[in-house]
Formats: sequence, structure tokens, C-alpha cells
Amino acid sequence: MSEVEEDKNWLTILAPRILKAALWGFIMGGEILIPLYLMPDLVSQIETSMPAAGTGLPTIAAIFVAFEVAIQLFDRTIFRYALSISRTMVSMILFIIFTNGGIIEVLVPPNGLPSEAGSLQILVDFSTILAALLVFSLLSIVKNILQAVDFLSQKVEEPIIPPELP
Amino acid sequence: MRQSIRVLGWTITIASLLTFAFLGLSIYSLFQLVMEQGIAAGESSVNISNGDYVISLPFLVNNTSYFDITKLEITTIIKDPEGGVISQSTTSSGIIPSGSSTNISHYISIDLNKMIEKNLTDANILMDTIMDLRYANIIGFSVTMANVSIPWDASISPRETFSVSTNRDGAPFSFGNKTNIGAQLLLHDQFRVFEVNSCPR
Repeated sequence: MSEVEEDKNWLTILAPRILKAALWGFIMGGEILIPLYLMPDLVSQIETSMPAAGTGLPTIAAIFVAFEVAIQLFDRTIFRYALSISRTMVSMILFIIFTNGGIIEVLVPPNGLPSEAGSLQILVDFSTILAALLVFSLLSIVKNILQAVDFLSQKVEEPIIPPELP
Repeated sequence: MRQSIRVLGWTITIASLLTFAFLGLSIYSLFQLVMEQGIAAGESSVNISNGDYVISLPFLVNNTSYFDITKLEITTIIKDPEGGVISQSTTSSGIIPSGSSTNISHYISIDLNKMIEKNLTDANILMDTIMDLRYANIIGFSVTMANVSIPWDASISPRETFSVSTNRDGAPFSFGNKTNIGAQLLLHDQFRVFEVNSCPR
């Protein structure tokens, strides 16, 4: 096979993957970035109430877009499943950090209150629900592992046809 | 095996969506309950009983939200201007089902002897109010209002409130009462009991 033909083969394999990765990256990033631009006030309120507000929502969006692009680029390989597992683990850690273990505390400064009132602190504890979501994430990791095992077993079962045979 | 993996994937997706939906709905419902004054304080009343200054705070809890309030606890801490605790009172309620309302009476008891010991004149005392509630058995919600300044009327202190003056023979002649409530002075010797009543000012 000439080099030109080989390059064309690589192009036919890579081009759809790159397009698919770009599309899925846009969809995944768009889900997080669209609220950032359409509702900046709500987002700034969420960022100030979250303890790790310094990292910011655009960083989370960038991380998820990077993972999705990589997963789509490595589609139909074992690396896709490894990247899916990594993405799930990173999302679990980010979720725990950003929600402070499922406890969100909002402090209203005294400026927003009448003069005789002190400070106002609101605390919402949804750690039970966070635990349930983490269990689902662990199940998602198990699912990816089973898919990887299934993928590898499929590869082993594929008949290998030597090129010289018709 | 692929079918099992597919079923597992769909189960995880549906369960996650339902969990997020429940979380969103319960937080929205809870904030609606608070914003629409589903928990409102009524008019307070004051009583002096056994040397304690007792403030009675009625609360009306009207649970118009979608889920039950599993537990509601109101705690008040009274502190002197330096932050020392004078008294702490807690009132708990049982389950308040969705669509129902209940009345809760919260009593704040201040030991007048302690107030005398602290020698507070017309100063401000500080009050911390903490409201804890457990919503839908799962979500905990707490509102704390700290260091609310309350003016303290020194005329409540018995030392400056009640005065007894006597005549030359030592028998009580008059009994003064600077409080807003009625007071009774009982004097007794070996044989007799004198009762002197004083009306509110």
C-alpha cells in the first residue's frame, strides 16, 4: 500500500473521530457554559455560596470538555473506558469538594440586615443525597470496567485472518 | 453480558436523574416554605415566675410544601454584652406532615438572680436564635441569627424595682413596684401574715 493511500486511510479513520469529538465536546461544554452566559447573576451566587469558589465553573467545564474530547477520540479502543473511569472519579472528587461534603453554608453579611440584627447564617445539609450520587458514580465505574472487559473479550474472539488467505 | 451492562447503564442514568430531580424539588419547596413565611412568630408575652423572667414566643408552622418536616427545633441563647451565656432554651416539635399546620410555644427563661449578679443596668443583651429542621427525612436546614441586640430594662431587676419603706417602728409602710406587672409582698411574723399588693405601673 502506497504512502498516499495509507495517509488517506488514516484520514478516513481520524476525521470522523475528530468531528465527533468536537461535537460531543461542544455539547458537554455547552451544558455547563450556556448557564454561565445566560444567567451570570445566578452563577455568581452559586460560586460565592460554594466553599471552593476560587476554582470556578469555567474550570469544571474545561475539565469535562477535555475528557469528552479524549473519550471520543479514543473511541473503540480500551483507552476510552479508562478515560471514562477517570472522568467519573474526577467528577466525584470535584462534587465532594465543591459541595463541602454535602453541606452548603451561606453567610449573609450584617450590611444586608437591620441594625439591631446580627449575622444570618443559612446551612443546607444534603450529605445523604450526595452519598447516593457517589454510589451511582461507583456503579458507573463498575459499568465501565465491565464494558472494558467485554471489549477485550470481543477483541480476543475476533478471528485473525492472515493477509495471504482470500 | 452486553444487555446486562446496558440495563445497568440505564438504571444508573434514571436513578441519577430522579435523585437530582428530588434534590432540586425539595430545596425549591423548602425555600418557598421559608420565603412565604410558612414558619412565622406570633406576639410574645412576658411573665415572671419563681424568680425567672419568662418570654413566651408562639410560632405558627404552616407546612405548605411538598414534603414532611420531620423535626423542627428552635434554640435561643441569651448572652450578656461580653458574650457570656445567661440562658439557653430549646423547643422541639414532632413530625409536621405536608399540608398541615401546628402551633409551637417557645419559652425563653432568664434567671433574674443571674442578671442581678451580672449587675446589668440599662444595657443591651445579645440573643442567638437557631432554627434547625429536618426536611423530607433527608435534607437538613438550619438558620442561625446570631448576636441580635435586645435592650434590657434594668427596672426588671428586683433590686431596683421593689422598694419597701418603713415607719419609725419598723413596720412596713409602703411597697413600691416599678415593673409592668403586679407584684405581691408577703410579710409574716410568728403570729400574723401581712399581704401587700402593688398594681402595675
